[in-house]
Amino acid sequence: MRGRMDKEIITIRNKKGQTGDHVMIFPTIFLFLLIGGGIVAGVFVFFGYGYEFRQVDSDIINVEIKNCILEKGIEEIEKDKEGIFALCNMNKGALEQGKFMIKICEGIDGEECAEKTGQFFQFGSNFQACLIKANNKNYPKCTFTNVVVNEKKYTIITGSNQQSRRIQ
Amino acid sequence: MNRKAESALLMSNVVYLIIVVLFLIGVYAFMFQQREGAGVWEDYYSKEISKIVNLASGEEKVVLNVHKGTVIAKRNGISDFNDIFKFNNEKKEICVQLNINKKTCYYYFNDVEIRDVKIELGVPENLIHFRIISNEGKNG
Repeated sequence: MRGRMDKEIITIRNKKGQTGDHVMIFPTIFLFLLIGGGIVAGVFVFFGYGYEFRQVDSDIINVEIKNCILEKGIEEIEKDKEGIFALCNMNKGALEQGKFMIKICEGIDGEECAEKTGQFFQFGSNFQACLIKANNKNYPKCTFTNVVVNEKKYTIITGSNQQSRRIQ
Repeated sequence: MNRKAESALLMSNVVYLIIVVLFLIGVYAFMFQQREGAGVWEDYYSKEISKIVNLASGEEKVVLNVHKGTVIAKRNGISDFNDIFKFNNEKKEICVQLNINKKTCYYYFNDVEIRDVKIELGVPENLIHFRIISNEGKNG
């Protein structure tokens, strides 16, 4: 009888002990998350969220396209639209990899140019995202300019969504 | 008699220790990656160099002060400074490595070739020299 009672007491005590140990894991994990989160937040506050460069990229490519149209002539591009990359000394593979966008429209304004398809020249897609003003890292940074050639107005939209890649 | 309880107690301690070790490894790995702000400086150098390359026209010789980058690379165990800045003329990409394990790469779209990359030390600071040669006319 006494032996059975001892066994029951031990079982009850064990249950209490086990429950206590398991419950303690949650405050510990919470503490780790708090410390880890603090370290990560500290690093981001100190170093910032990276060096934003997409607008600079977009501005440079826009200037290059504009200069190219003015120097080489829009007729040269019209003759061979795919040849614009060689004509303007740009590497198509790098533009694709770097998620660059180029669109040239004839006779319409920037907003309309971004929305309409089938324009004078287009490389890349989702130009509507250029019209969204939200500060979202997933949307490209764009540049809108106009150039007048042979009394015709051309709108040039360029964009970049290139992020630097940290690799092994 | 009390073996089950001891075993349960031991198990919970082992689990606790594993969690502590995993947490410490995670924290150490994260801190190691951020050593000297290598990632931030890699990002900065790769983007600024890509800008210089994109704005180049014709043949240009470029000299840049990269003293800060070389100091960080040395502290992070990179002994050969020629490994810090790598240009890939095929992919049109610049990769900057200031840490042993990782590097940061960025594309430039200007169809040029980068040649004669050379690090010059102590003049009075460390400089990188390279030549940008345009491919204009070769493609079309």
